[in-house]
Amino acid sequence: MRVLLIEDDAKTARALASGLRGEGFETVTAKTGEEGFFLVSRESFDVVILDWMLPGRDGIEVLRTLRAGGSKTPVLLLTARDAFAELLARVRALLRRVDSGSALRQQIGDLTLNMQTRRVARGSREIALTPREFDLLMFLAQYHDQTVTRQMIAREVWREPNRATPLDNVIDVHLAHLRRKLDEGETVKLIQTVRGVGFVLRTEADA
Amino acid sequence: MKGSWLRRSVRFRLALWYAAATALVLCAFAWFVYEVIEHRLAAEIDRQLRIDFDLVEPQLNVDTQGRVNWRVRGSHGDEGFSRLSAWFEVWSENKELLLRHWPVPEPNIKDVVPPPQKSTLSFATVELERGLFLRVMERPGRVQGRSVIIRVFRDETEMRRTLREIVEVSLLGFPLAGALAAVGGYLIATRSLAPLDAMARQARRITSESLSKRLPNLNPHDELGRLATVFNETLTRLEASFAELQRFTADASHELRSPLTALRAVGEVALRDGHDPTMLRETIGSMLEEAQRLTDLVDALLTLARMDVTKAGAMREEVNLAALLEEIRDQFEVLAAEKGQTLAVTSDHNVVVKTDRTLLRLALVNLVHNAIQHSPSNSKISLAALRRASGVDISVSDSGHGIAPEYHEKIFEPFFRVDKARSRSRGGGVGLGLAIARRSIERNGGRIIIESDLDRGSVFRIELPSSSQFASSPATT
Repeated sequence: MRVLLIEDDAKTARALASGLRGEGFETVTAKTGEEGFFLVSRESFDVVILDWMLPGRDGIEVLRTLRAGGSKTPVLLLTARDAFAELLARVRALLRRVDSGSALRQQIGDLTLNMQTRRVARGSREIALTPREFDLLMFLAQYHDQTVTRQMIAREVWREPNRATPLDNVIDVHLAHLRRKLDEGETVKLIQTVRGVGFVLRTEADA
Repeated sequence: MKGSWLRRSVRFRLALWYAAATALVLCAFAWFVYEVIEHRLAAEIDRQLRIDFDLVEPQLNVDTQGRVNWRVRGSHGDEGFSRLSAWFEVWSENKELLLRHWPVPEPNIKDVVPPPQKSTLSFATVELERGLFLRVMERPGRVQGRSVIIRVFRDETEMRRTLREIVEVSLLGFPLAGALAAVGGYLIATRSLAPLDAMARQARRITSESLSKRLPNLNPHDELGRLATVFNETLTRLEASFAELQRFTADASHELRSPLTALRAVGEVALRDGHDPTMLRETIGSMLEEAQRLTDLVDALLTLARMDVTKAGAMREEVNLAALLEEIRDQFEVLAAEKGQTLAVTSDHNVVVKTDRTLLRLALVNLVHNAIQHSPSNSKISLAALRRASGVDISVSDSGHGIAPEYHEKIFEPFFRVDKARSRSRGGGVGLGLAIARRSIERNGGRIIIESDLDRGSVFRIELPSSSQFASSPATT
């Protein structure tokens, strides 16, 4: 998987490129839109990550020029407040291009999720969840082994695009409930907090 | 260039207008006077003609040859009607001239006056030669039983001269009067605009450094006084928003600097003595938390800033308040339950308001969040929507510590916290919630009032105007 990252800030570009490489993406960086065009016309990429605010011309303009040039490569616009976890999730979603929600059953470790009956079980223990808790768990399961931020949860589970809405506390409470129902008394804690970033649903403890 | 010069002097334009108006009034008046005098003079001449006729008719007779003669009998007190001034003709019914008595030599003007056309009473004006006008009256009469048409004449020249003099005097006088009016108008305009010039000079001296100065206001009730009042009010608002902006910038810088300081301190310390990976992870996590705080703060600041520049009202839709309040309750109930608080919604039946739903919801969510944070455990928070005569009321009531009256205004200011120690504890928000709430409601044309006192809880009441209200069914509770 080849990723082209067009980002003018060297430090951000380095950090993001290194993070993407760590996740197994072959990453090429470009400092300006022009350099980006040049690379896109010569090489082939699976996805282009484009900084929203580039010097000279902004991301939208670069995107327009790319599309006008006939490029069909998926493009992801990077905004200043995107956490890396979110960027990663969006890149994967773009590349996968499949709705993981279409899977009717999902098995993560000993956790079973049935999307149709909305039933959840750990091993043989049935777990009763509120609709909101179920949606939250489903979202975590969709991105299992990846960190999701509170911002992603607010947008995808609560459908709340406005960041000025004080939802973080509400999300935390729901997560605490979910965690209590899922993990209390279990040796393997499925829901883990990644401090300063968000939450992750995974079967193994952090290395 | 002339046009632009004209445009630059109100004084000159006023003077011109004044002169034009004066000239117009004078013209109208002169025309009226002319008409009245002309009418009076003409009527006087016609009256004289009738008198002439009455004098002439009985003095006519027919001699033995059948000729009509005129004999002056001096016994009628007709001093004004002598042989010299009498001017008449007698015509037969079949348009034959029977007698002509003219005080001027006849051949000069003979052809000018045609024979009478009809045998009824009629008046006419004829011009004999240039400048000589005659008024003619024809009237059937009887001379010793014989039907004739008697024509009497009067000279109109005198009357016409009088009228011409009026016109001449007017033509001479009007430019003079107009000029006088222009000069007078200019002087008056100068005098009345002088305070305006003074105001402009004073206003120029008022800059961002001296916003506390005000315009002099001699008489607040006249037009200039009202202008000065409005200007001073604007200055007051400007001064207030300048001060607010400065305070806001200082506060925002302070709020932004705190997480930055923390980031730096945590990073530096970890770098100095951190070799333990677990501890380093902790440090990075802590730094990310600070970064998140910065992000949240910037997001909130952007929300506030955008609210100031975007036009409200573009996104209006009908909002059912009960449904909106219940939706918010469902979202925040879990947070309240953590503290053992209950969230209750009461609403009049079917209170619908046409408003920007996103903004209203943003305001309510911030108020509810604020109420949950500041209410003690096991208390009740109520959300209520009421229909008023002039709009709707939405209230968020808590039974928290309450807010002392001196803070009722300040609490809506960005970053203001009653309890400084509480600031920025986890879940304390960034201190912009109430500011965002108020700005959202004001954008929607409403206002937020706080009713509160220490230890008596607080009620935040949103009043939305009825202009945006649509009552879709009769009010029932």
